[in-house]
Amino acid sequence: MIKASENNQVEGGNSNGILAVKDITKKFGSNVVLDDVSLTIEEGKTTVVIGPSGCGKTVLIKHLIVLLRPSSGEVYFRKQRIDNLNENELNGVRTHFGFLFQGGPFYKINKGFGKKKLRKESPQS
Amino acid sequence: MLAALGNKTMLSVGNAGQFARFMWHSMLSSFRSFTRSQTYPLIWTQMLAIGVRSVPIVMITGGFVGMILAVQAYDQLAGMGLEEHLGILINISVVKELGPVLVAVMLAGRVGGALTAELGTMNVTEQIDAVRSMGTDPVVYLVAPRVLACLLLTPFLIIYADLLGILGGYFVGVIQFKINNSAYWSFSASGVELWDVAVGVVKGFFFGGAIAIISCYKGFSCREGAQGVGQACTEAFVASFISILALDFTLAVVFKAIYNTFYPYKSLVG
Repeated sequence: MIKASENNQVEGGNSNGILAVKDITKKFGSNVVLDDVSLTIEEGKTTVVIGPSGCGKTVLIKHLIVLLRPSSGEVYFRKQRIDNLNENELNGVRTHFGFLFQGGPFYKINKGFGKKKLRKESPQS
Repeated sequence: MLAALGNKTMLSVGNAGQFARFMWHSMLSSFRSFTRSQTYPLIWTQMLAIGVRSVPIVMITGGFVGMILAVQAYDQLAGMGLEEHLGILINISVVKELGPVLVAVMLAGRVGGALTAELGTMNVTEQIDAVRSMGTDPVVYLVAPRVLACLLLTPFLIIYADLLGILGGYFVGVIQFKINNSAYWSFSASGVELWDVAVGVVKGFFFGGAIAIISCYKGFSCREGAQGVGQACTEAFVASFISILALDFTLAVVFKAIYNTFYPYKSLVG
């Protein structure tokens, strides 16, 4: 489980943040995986989340593009809240991201099917 | 105990609501896919896997149904001197009930299990999340082509099964039991109406849609790991089987009511 530190930040907040999660808690049944976590990712910087296996890193990162919705808390992209958008609206937001999953599943979406054409099957960073 | 019962009830109601939302989304996406030419290649692929590759087993199923009916019913009819009516009994049973239901049950096992396993594996390996992360609705991309393929092809598979069932019954009744050929077909033609055939074919739409939506839902909502996927496949078949029986009963009542309402006006249509 990832818990908030005393100042309520996993990493220090910054107004240049392009992505931010604020006070998110995620529960699966009675199992609390994220407990009041905040994170800001600054534009132009590389942010690394390190932790032991099963601590909630993937759960946290999936919240960034709302593949998982928080039990409580908020997610922001370019200062716009996105965790309360429906799936249709999120499809437009997600085209701004590249997401490499743990198992590396690449999906060749038929030309023009998604909002964004994939030019080649290659890892997206 | 009361708390446990309450929790279980709430869970069941929640699952029912989730399924209803998934079903609505799938049906809407399937309908819209008709107007999007980008989905046609996906639909053709599913039609090949679901429909074309099911033809041999469907024809075997239909053939044996007709033959078994003939074997079982001949003695009873011959005892009353009505063996020439064997054709009516076999053909009405096959086209109206046994053909559609047995084809649907066979498809629930073959196609439904494959759909659940495929989508379940994609779910646990995060491929469905990968589709979502690229701004594509996984229901539109994965579910709608499968639903459309099942909806469109199940009626044709039922027609194949009916044809082989009729031929199977003919083979046993006329060739084996030496029933008069012209009497066999004459009584069959008088007893089996176009309405009977149409009822069987229309049932195929409902059965195909139910199998596809239930199987896809189970795949999307399966639990982690191989055990979760395996359990989802079992649940998908059981749910599809029960749905087929429930739909068959409901449609039988509805079609009977429609027939009884409009039968008096049959002579006007000619």
